[in-house]
Amino acid sequence: MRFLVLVSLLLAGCSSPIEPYQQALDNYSAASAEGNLRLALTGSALHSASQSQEFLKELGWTQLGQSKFEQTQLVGEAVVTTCLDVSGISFLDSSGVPVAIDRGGNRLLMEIEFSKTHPPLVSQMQEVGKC
Amino acid sequence: MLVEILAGAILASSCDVTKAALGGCGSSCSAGTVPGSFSLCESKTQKKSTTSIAKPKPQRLCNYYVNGTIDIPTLTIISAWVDVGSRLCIGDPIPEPKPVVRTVTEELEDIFSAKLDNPKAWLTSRSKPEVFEPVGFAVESFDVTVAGSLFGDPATIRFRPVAFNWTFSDGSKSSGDTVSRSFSQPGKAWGKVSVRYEVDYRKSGAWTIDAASWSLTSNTVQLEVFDPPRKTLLVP
Repeated sequence: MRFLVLVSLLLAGCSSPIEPYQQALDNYSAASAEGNLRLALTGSALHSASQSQEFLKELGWTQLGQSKFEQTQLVGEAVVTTCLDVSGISFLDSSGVPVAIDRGGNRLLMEIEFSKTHPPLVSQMQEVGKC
Repeated sequence: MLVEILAGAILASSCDVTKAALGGCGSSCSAGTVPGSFSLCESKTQKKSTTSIAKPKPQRLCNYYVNGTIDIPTLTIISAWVDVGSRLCIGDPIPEPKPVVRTVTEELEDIFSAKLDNPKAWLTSRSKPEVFEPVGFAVESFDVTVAGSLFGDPATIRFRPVAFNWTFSDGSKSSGDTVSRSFSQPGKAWGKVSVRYEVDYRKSGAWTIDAASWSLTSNTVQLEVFDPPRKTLLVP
């Protein structure tokens, strides 16, 4: 009986290999909405996001809402594919008027690389298709 | 035409949530399919496979700057297969300068696609003038700046109206953002204007001026010309 309890505890303690990456993506969604990107990004992903923030600032636009990363799958060492849903994100111009953005689709299949740090940070992000 | 971007920085650049939401993460770029919306996309077209026995035109790999020139450097260089003799490439001798009228060219298609509302024209005088009465027409003549993306990176695009060519129902023409003319015949009449825009863009820092030009036609301004009854004054 003790053995069974120990096995159960061990099994419960084993997390899915995808879990830290999904957690990192969820952190990124939250950080993106809050504008606190350094907590979730590094490398070229951070550079790209900083450029985008500068661009919005230059235009006087405001980003609203939050993205979602779904159906995340591990496809390599610290590399995942995931479905990025940006339908929850909208933009207001400097007058507070919603801006119409032609995205060509709200659900984008992304390939994302992570740093090999703990916790992992998103280091590279590329759109590879639709989902 | 197979288009590649040589600039390593752009190829290596990552995407991010904001860029994705702006429609600027590569394959999501959809060239303004929603009315009133805007997107500016890299055009990646494939070389057509030749299945007929027609002899293909000779092509060569051509490098030119993203502004379409070979002598005004930009950070990005476009490398494309083009028909021999169809355009100048970096390294070709630059011909003697001569007056060039810029039109909508393949450069525009290769660099981006964009959607801009047609310019609005209106009457500045009454809509029911008498024959030979001066009628005023005007059209919007201010710069329009919009957000988009260029080769996957966010960019600001500016359309500057530079020429206004009016056409009227009686076949006459005029130019200028405000014009005045009169009609000699009673009945329905109209005027409309073709506005030519110079297109500038800015990815960061300074503007790249005159990257392309683009013409759009305004709405048709309708009016009704009438001939008032004439009174005959008899003088004894």
